[in-house]
Amino acid sequence: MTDKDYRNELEKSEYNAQKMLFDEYINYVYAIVFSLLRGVAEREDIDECVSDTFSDIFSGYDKNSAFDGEMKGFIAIIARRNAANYYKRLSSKGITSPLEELNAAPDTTDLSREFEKAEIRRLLIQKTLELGEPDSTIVFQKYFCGRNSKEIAKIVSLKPSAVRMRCTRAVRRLKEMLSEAGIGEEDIQ
Amino acid sequence: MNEKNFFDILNHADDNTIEELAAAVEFTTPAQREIIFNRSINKAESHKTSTETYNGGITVSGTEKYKPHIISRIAGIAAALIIISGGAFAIYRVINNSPEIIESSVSSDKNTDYKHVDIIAACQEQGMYVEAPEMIPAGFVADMIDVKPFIVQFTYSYDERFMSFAYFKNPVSPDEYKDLISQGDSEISEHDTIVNGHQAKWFEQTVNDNYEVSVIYESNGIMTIFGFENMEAEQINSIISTIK
Repeated sequence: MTDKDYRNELEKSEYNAQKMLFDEYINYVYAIVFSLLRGVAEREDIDECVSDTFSDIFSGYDKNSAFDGEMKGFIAIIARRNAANYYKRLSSKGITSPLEELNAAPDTTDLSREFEKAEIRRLLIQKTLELGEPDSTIVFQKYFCGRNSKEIAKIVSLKPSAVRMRCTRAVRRLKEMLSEAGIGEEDIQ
Repeated sequence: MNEKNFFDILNHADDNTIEELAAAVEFTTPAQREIIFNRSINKAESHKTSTETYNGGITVSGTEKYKPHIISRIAGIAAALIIISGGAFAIYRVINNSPEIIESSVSSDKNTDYKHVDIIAACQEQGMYVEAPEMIPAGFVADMIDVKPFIVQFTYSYDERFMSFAYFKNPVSPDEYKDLISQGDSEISEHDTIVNGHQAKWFEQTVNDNYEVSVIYESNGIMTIFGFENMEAEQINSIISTIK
């Protein structure tokens, strides 16, 4: 969605424009926030941060601006800023925020490690998707999103027992696929 | 390998990974999306209102005097008591399901032939690595049943919830088991499947949202019963004794 599209919709109906923008970017914003807050925040905090992000987008958008471009960059900046603020607030150890870590100038060994990690991440997502449905959804929801079998059962319309069984087999298959692709346990530590 | 750590590599992901994740994973349910959207709209609205009020410099709104709602509190306590007693009654019903059958099927020496074995540990002693009870090879279970007559059972924590798996050898026929559970009020589904390379019948008995029992009969006579979520070992043993 571009600024122009959004402004045109805003002229017709503010609510519809906001709903349209929300529907288009909810998964993207959630992915940004979730990736940064996973491990330090509860799901409720993550939901709160996502709603803060959309609230900031809705209330902070300048309807009279002449700028026209993709909304994605603007949305990503607000999502990252909010997630970094939540991260700071929720981390009790006073560690640096991910945003500060990202802005810090990395040395060359970090760059090579980051490149390697990016490749492992790409392969992990790709191989998980190759498990096919519903196994890929089950694995992502359990091991990445942290949902339990009962919650996943509702998403994939299976019994919790069937989810558990499929999950165990899918993870075994995923490990084999990653191993064939040259990714071992030591690569992900 | 700890699978949870496996996906930790996606934490603090780069932009490309974020794009891929957004395309691959459905992070929210429709109900969750609805809540987040409404909350966003309300926050944006209240932000707009408070800004407008501040700019005018005249009024402050959005605060109200707190009044304790005694009736709401009493209603809340009553609701909690109803939920707790309902849960206790549900557990009582589960334990006492089909009482006539329990009386007729439990032999007097039921405690003497019962063996509790940590089968995962037993597999590992034999150099077999198993991640979950349902992945234990059927042949190994059959051998264990012969070594430890009648029942091999172990408990297992999955998703931080309690589960138990129990293995039997020819305790009752599938038809007998079906008759047994059909006497309760619970919903039962039956389907044919393949387990460990054996033709098998799978019964799923759903009692309520929190309680479900799955029973698998393999053609080699092994019966696996699992899925006692959120139940104590004593209660599980009570159910197992009805199958014996």
